[in-house]
Amino acid sequence: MGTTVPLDLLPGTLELLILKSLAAGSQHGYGIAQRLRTVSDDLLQVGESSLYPALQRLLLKGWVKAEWGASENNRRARYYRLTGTGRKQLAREHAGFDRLIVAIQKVLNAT
Amino acid sequence: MRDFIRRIRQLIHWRRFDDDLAEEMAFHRDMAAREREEQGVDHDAAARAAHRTFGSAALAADRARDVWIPVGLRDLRADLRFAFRLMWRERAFTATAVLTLALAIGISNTVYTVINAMILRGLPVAHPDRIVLLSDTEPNSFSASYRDLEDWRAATSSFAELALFTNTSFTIGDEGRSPEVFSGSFVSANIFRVIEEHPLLGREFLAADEQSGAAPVVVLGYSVWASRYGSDPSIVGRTVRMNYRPATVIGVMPPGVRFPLVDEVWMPVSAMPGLQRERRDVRVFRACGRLAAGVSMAKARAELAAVTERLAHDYPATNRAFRASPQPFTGTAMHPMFLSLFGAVSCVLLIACANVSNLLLARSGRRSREISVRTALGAMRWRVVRQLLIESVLLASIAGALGFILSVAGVKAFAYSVRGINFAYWYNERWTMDHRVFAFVCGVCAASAFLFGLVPAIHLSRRDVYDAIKQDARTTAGRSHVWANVLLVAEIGFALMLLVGAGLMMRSFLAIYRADLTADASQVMTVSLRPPPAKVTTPDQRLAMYRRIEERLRTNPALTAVTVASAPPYIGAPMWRIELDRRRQTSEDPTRRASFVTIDRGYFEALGVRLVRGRAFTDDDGMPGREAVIVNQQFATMFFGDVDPIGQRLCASNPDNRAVASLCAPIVGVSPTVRQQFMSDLDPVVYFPLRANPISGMLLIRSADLRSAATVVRSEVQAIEPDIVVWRLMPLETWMEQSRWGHRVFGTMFTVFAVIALVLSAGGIYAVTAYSVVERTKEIGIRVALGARASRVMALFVRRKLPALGTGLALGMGGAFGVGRLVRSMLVQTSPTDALTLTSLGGLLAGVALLAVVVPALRASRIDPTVALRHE
Repeated sequence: MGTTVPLDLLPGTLELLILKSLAAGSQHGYGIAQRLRTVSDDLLQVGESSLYPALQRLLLKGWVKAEWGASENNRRARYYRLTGTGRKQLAREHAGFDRLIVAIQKVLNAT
Repeated sequence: MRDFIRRIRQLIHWRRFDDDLAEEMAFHRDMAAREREEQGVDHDAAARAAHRTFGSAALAADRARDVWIPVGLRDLRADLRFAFRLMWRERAFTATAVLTLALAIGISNTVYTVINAMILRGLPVAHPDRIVLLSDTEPNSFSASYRDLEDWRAATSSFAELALFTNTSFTIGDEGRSPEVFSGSFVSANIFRVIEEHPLLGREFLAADEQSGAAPVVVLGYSVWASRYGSDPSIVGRTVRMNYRPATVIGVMPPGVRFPLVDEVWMPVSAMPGLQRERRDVRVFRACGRLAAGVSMAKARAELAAVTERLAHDYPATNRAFRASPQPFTGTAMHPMFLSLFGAVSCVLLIACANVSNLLLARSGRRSREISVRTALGAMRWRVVRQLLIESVLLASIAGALGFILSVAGVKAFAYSVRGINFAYWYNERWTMDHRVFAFVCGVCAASAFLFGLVPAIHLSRRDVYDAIKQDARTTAGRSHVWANVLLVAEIGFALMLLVGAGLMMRSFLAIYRADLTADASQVMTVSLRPPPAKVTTPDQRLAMYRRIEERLRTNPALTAVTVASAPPYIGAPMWRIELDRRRQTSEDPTRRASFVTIDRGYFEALGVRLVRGRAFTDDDGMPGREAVIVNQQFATMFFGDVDPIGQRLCASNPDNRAVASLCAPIVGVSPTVRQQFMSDLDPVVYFPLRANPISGMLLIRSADLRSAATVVRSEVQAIEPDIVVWRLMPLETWMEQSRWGHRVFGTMFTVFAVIALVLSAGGIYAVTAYSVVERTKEIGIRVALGARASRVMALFVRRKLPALGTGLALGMGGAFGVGRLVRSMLVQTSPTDALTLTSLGGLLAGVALLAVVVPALRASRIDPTVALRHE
């Protein structure tokens, strides 16, 4: 576990990553977790006990919608889909996050 | 906001939420396991690993749920559900507590609704809190002169409007119809601007209408317009005869406007006969006004006080002792009657709270184990207190709902008991509830929940966890006895205060009924007469007219007695200043007042009253050189004490109107005390001969059959003089009832409250004692087994409660003196510290309280040790 990055460092990070991973298309909870892990080369291991509450928060905000559908192996699975406001939110947070990262980098690299 | 709507939508589908979440997470675990299997891990191990990485599904579900429901709210739901279950399990306890509280809340709300309707709600106008009545600082005096008003208007800026009015009655006549009398007022032109009302038809009064010599105009009330003129819209501009003189109708007010009292007709002061505008001391008006925007009552009061102070300095002859002060038009809730009623219901409420508090404390023995387990499992103290307070709030809410229903019935009962009483216009049909009443009920519930819930909550949450779990619950009540005794003391104290208050009110109520038996009102009727002013102008003509009517009616065999008086008993009379002959002056205040009444021969016979001393009037009394006055017994006692009043001289003068000459005469007779004033104690009255001041008169008729007498009087009077208006034919008993309804209704209310208080406190004492008997069953069993006699066992309980009972009685006795002072102004022939009331009711309460202790104690003494020791 020492190789993974804690996601609660900056509040809202997990939500941003979920939104990003849904930008490509709708996905179920397991799929989102898988995607985050593979894309980050196993650096990001999302605990399910944070993933599902985070998804509920996004539902509450209205940034994603949930629908039941059939999974790739024909099981019933809940698929999450980005809404219009969710997409806008993603763009806004992405930009904000970029600035934050730059700022943090600057501070850390300052001599 | 949108979040909120989504939250609500989610909560509506709550059951599905859990299922969905569970299914979703199961899917997640299965997928994870399958992935591992694909990597070559065997099935079971894969499932276990997936489970492990997933972590606690319950925790995840909990957190997911918390997103939608704030944690506090979810706890609240759990607490509420628990409280409901507990209340259901202990139904007997719940029913007792709820009923106790509901009764108290019900009567509190009844009283509040009545006070709200009479006073707090104010006039039915847009801004009732801005309308004020100006009163002289001398209590119950509201007089002002026309000059006073001019002075005040010129010197103050706190009032948007200042107006004058004086109540009177108007005879309205038209061509070819019999005249009718309506109550109304002479007013200053701005009277309707005070309440910001405008005529439905026509125009309102203008300043020019008020000038002397202005053409007479009249504004009609809606009811007069509807009943007499059939809502004819062409009424405006028509000439009618007001008090037999032509006047032009200029407007009609909308329905419901009967300002300032019960008015139906208004004329400007310029139409008032004989008004002396320039005299500062002709104080025949009452003044009212509207505060200017943003001006507080206190500021207006201060400004007016300064102005009247200056006027008193500038015009010492007329204004020396005259000060004016604004007060809310409908009065203040600080009226002693309302204060005491409020005090009474507060007492009942406190007793009810003490009772429920005691019940909760008694139950705390059973609860303490549960609470201790909760605490041991890590519940924070706040959480425990909150749980207990939620139970209290729940109890109070149910009681509040029930109490509200009870108060609806209570208000109905009140409205029924005052039916037929003539109230000022803003009371009528308004015994209803409004937002203010609702807020009051909620406030009372919250306050009582806090009051009765807090002590047990603190008590329980403070318990030592270890002790409570270790010991048997039944033996751990310990400290709660201290609290129980404190509550008992309070209960007894409040109950005694209330009993004494009710006792004093009841004695007054009985005294007034007894006093009203002095005169035999059952066969007496009063008739108001309005002589035509054109034909009857001088006092002599008036007297002659009254005499003609009397003579004619006296010959009618259906009428047993006929007489004329300025005012019959019970309906009030002007209070005149009385000065006794200087030489005979005793130490008493020389400027005391008495009701001023003029009567003709036969007045006391008509009332069925025999003079105590001296003689009655003859037809000639009151002629120059034959001055005479009769005083009543109350007057004789107040002004002369033991000295014989017959032959003493007294002078009576109108304190409000110096233009009226004072009357001096020797006392020729003393009558028994017949109440003259409205809702008062027995009052001093001076009776002058009608001839001395024949300004106005009412007929008093005595007859076995009042219904037919009314017809006789009507036709006979009109036979003498067809222009006389005969109106307001009323049995004297109706006046009498009008004049004492307050004592009857409020006395009854007090008594009902006191009985409730007595029952509640007795029940409370009984419950506490009975509970401690149950609690100590085992111990008693041991005592009895070891040879304790029944009397000793009983004494064990009785002795323990005696200090609390004694302290309560002593404190209550102290409080009762305060109660006496509070209700003093309503007492009739009763001292506020009436020894009989205090001792008998103190004794009654002590007896009942003792009984409530002895009965359960007796049961304790009969405990069978073999049963008790098995009691577990």
